[in-house]
Amino acid sequence: MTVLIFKNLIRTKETSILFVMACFMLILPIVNLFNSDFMRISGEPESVSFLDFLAGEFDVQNMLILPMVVMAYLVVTAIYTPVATGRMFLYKDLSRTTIINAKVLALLGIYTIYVALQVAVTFGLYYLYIVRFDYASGLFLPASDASAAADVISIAGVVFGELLTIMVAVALATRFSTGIIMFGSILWICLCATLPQLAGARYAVPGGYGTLLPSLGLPVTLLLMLALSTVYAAGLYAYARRRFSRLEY
Amino acid sequence: MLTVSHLSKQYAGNPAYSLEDVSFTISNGEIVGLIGKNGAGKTTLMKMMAKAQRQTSGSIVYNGADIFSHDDMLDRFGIMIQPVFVPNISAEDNLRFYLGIHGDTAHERNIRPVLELVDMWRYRNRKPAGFSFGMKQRLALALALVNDPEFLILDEPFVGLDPDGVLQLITVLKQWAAERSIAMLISSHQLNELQELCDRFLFIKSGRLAAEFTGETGEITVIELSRPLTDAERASLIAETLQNSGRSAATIAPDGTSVEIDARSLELNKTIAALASTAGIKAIHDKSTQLNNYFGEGR
Repeated sequence: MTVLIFKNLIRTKETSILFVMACFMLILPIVNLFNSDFMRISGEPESVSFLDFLAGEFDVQNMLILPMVVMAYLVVTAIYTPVATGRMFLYKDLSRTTIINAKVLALLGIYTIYVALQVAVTFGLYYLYIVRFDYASGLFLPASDASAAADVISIAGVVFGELLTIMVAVALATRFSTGIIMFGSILWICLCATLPQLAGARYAVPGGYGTLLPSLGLPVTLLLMLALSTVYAAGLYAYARRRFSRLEY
Repeated sequence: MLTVSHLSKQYAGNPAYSLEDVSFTISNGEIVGLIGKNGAGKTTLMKMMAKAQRQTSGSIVYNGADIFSHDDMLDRFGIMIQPVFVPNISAEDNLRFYLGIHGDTAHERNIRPVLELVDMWRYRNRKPAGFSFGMKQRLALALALVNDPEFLILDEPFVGLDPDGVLQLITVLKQWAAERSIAMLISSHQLNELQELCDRFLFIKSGRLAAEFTGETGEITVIELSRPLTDAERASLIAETLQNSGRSAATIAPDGTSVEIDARSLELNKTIAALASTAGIKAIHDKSTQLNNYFGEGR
């Protein structure tokens, strides 16, 4: 069932838009033709590795917010709309747990392709274009382990935050209409962006653990981020599964 | 066989029951019509049979098993309650998707015959998002029929079909019922089509099963009386219209306000004369219009 639902979702306009957004960094060569500070990259000579560039790319995508808005709308298409329109009749009385699991896995599959596209586009852009600039090192990893660790934590913070955005949308879609789903998802995105700046609340979101890196090291910091994200995801999934199993339409 | 026992549905926050204490059975090969005005509870009943809604009380048993006891009990059901489809894939892919999610790819051989049956084969590569209402309805019908169901739940199946399509659908459904012993529950406001198709009717009024009657058409005369018959008048009428079989030609309604008799019965004149001189006759009509009367009563 997951494969069938995935095949339907990948043919939607929302998915096409999401994949186009994954290629957003391809505008960099065009932007550089203009004498503008927009998306300007700078640094010491040979200081920017591929991993540094990739971490920057994930940051840019995250700040755009639009990809996650589109992802939330895809959740609406996959979970809310079939209930609201009665399309759930197609499933007759198949296990609701099986259905919601298939939908969530299909959505995560779309997200995985989105991330993979970002990595692929960034890889191509770095080694075909960025390496021409003197700030590019041409190396896959940064020269220092500390920089590499910081890049990994930065990327993980974005990815965990986005995965939780999907789960927030899934949970909301089992109860509320499109407007509330979009509002709730965007609220979570904003929390992920702002809470890391607040000393008392930064550890409530995955992206707030970067400050622990110097003291705890990469494995422990990553583990803490993973543990927090898992707890959130499990709670949201449990709620969504329970609500979905009791839905009437 | 499907048995609905004391089925009720009360929505949260609503003191009234949308469906209350409904009981009936549908045997294999039987086609049953479900009639009633809008809001009577027909769709609520069908949605509970489709397990889209949970019952407040009561049960639905199919071939000896309570359909609410486990998941995937409706495997042999075909359901068309509203036009549903995946809008961004073609009509043919919609049927493949439906069979695929139920692990029933063996019935993919039925896709072309069923789409041809509902006159949608030429639109098989088009996406339903661009279909007219009638085309969406026909696609939904194809989805209900594609897996060779044993029990069909059809809500307004004739909407969107042209007269030839209606005739074809009636012919196919009657044939399927006879040859494959498919049982059907069909709800429609198109009473002529229902009368052509159904063996029996269930009349839902204000959430209750108000009447249940067979689909005898045009051969039964119904005599409505000005007042109910007394017990003595009942006994007298039965005695006067006794046939060689030992049974009365006249069937008196439980409340005594109407009498039914075969339109070609030898006892017809005697019955009319007896009733005219006792309770008095208010109206006489054939059973085919009784369907309209039930429906009209509910307006």
